[in-house]
Amino acid sequence: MGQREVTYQAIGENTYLVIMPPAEAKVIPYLTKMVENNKILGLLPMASQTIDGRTKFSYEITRKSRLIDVVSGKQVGAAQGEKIIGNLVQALLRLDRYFLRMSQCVLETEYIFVDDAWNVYLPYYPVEIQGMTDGNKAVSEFFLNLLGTCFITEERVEYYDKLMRFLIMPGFSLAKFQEIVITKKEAQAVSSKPMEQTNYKKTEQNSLDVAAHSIIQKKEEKGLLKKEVKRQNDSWQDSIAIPGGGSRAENVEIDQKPERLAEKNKVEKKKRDGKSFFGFSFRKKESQNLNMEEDIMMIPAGAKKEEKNFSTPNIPGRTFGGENRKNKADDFAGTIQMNEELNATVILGEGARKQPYLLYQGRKEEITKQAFKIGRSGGDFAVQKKTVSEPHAQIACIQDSYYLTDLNSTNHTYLNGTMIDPYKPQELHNADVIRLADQEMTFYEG
Amino acid sequence: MARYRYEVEMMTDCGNVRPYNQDSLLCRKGSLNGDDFFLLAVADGMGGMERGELASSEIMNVLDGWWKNSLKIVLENGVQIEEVSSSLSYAIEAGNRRIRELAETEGIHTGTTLSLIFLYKEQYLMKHIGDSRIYCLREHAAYQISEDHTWCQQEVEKGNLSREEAEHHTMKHVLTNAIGGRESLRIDTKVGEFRKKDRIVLCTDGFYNYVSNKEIVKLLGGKEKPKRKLQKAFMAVKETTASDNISVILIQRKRQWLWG
Repeated sequence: MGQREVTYQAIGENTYLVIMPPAEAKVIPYLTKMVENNKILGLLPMASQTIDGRTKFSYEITRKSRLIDVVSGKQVGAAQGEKIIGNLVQALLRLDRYFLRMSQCVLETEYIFVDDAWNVYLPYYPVEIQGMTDGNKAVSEFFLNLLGTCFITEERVEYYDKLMRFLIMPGFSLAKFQEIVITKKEAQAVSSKPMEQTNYKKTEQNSLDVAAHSIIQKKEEKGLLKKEVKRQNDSWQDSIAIPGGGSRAENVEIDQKPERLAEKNKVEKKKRDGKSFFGFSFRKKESQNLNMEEDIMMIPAGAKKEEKNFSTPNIPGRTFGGENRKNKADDFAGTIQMNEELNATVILGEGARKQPYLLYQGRKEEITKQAFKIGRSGGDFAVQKKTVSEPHAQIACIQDSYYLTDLNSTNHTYLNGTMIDPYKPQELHNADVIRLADQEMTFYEG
Repeated sequence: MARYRYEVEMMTDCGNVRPYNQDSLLCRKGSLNGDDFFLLAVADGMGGMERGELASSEIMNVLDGWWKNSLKIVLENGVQIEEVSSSLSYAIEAGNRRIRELAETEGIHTGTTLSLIFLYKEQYLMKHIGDSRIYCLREHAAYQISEDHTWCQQEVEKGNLSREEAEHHTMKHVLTNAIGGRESLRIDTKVGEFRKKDRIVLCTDGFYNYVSNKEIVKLLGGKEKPKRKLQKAFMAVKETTASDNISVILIQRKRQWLWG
């Protein structure tokens, strides 16, 4: 497949990132409308335009800077860095509320934008991407690159180190990553931000109530715009956000027919006071007679000896506890078992659980933790030699497989005689020989 | 001008053995230019105790969220089945992630089947995961339009088991695919024709395991009102062991009078 075309356009006082997919790419109309019709926090406002059968997406980036410029320009201190990462995670997690896939965000620092309040904006690219469904993998790789290349700071080394260790482990979960990213202090800062509080209203029963969200957005539009006009004077940025360091002359393609777009803007402007986003419309008026009845027939699980339940369902009380079994890695030849009740759906068991261990100098060291750290003096297993770093390596257990990771040690880690790269997990097999610097040990599955 | 109108009824019961019901059912109705469209779904939760009902209720909440928030956008230019299908898949995948996260947070292991139908005029769209079933009753025969995602079905397809053996196999409850089971999910999609005299039946295994296809046609294929037919069907099932939760949704075309 061909490459997408990326350009920048300045129309009046506004600036846009414009992405045109390759001719053979399949644009997903439903997703395009979903993003266009909803002001989704964490996404760049988007409008689509189809000319001669080709669709292009325009993202409004006025008064925003590229993430790559912000983080590499040393404008970011430790606190701001944490905010940016926290906001990125929240933006991605929010996508599920709109049934949007993380893998369709353009996760490249050149196309992610930041405003002067450190809010981040991702471009959503509603195009079918062949073979890309594993959003978690793409996201973990993105954060690894971001932390590894951009956040070069001596402050909060421990914090970033903690994030990196989490990211290198297989089986990445963004929700769990968020727990590590947002410290208590950060949680307070994030929750006090005006945009988060005024623009999203939680409903009682349904946290996916996007319709209510949109209505609140419409009402707040005026208020937001007023703030934006004020911010123009306060902003530390004194030019329109154009990549290349803020120069207006370079890298800017001026739209040849601004009057066409301006015309569209005028129509939208009638609905708003002050300036408006380009082509960013409210939900379109229904031109057809569409009726979505309010009555709902839903019988939630838990109904006992009742035939029908027409009331709005409550989510049944959840229980805690119960055995937490982990299944083998995704494989459609495998099976799923949930419990062993009579006639209940069952999962095939894995047999008696093995106890893996390391054999070092004739001694058996059992691997008892999911993330088992090995180092000179601390961690879970101390190899008391000067050549061994602290910490040196880690063995992680993910879904019954084991992975060895070098933690950027001085004298390196070797697996069966071959040196392994730092922070790149390697799967372990029975009787594999691990060498930390000059100290050799053997891994056994048990 | 002909109008497509349907009547739908749904019913659920704990059965004769279980004290709790882990099945969830959903029916949503809308109309476009006078023609009805429906979203019907059954979900059979797994995990035992309240764990199963967590998953089956949650996926219904997700579908309800899809109905309220996404469908209007999808239907802006009329009913395009491909768009409805694509947006439903995205919603179900999001539901899978949500249920897995909930289960992880609460330290439980849970999942659910899901069989749904989106129906508009003479076309139905099916989405299916697990071993609940969807039948189309046509001309005195019951056609199973969903495929069971079970180990036994897999073995039948490989030729290792006959259909009869699979019916009575001890492993017949073993699933190969369920919402909340794994990160990646297989969603079966089918589009088909819904003719004037057809009936569509969505049911969990607590129903179809206790009635034969012939009995399903006899109980649910007639001209009576759906409610009456379901009542008879439930009575018939409960006369057997009925050791599982029983859930059925039935939809058929409404009788229309010339002046209606």
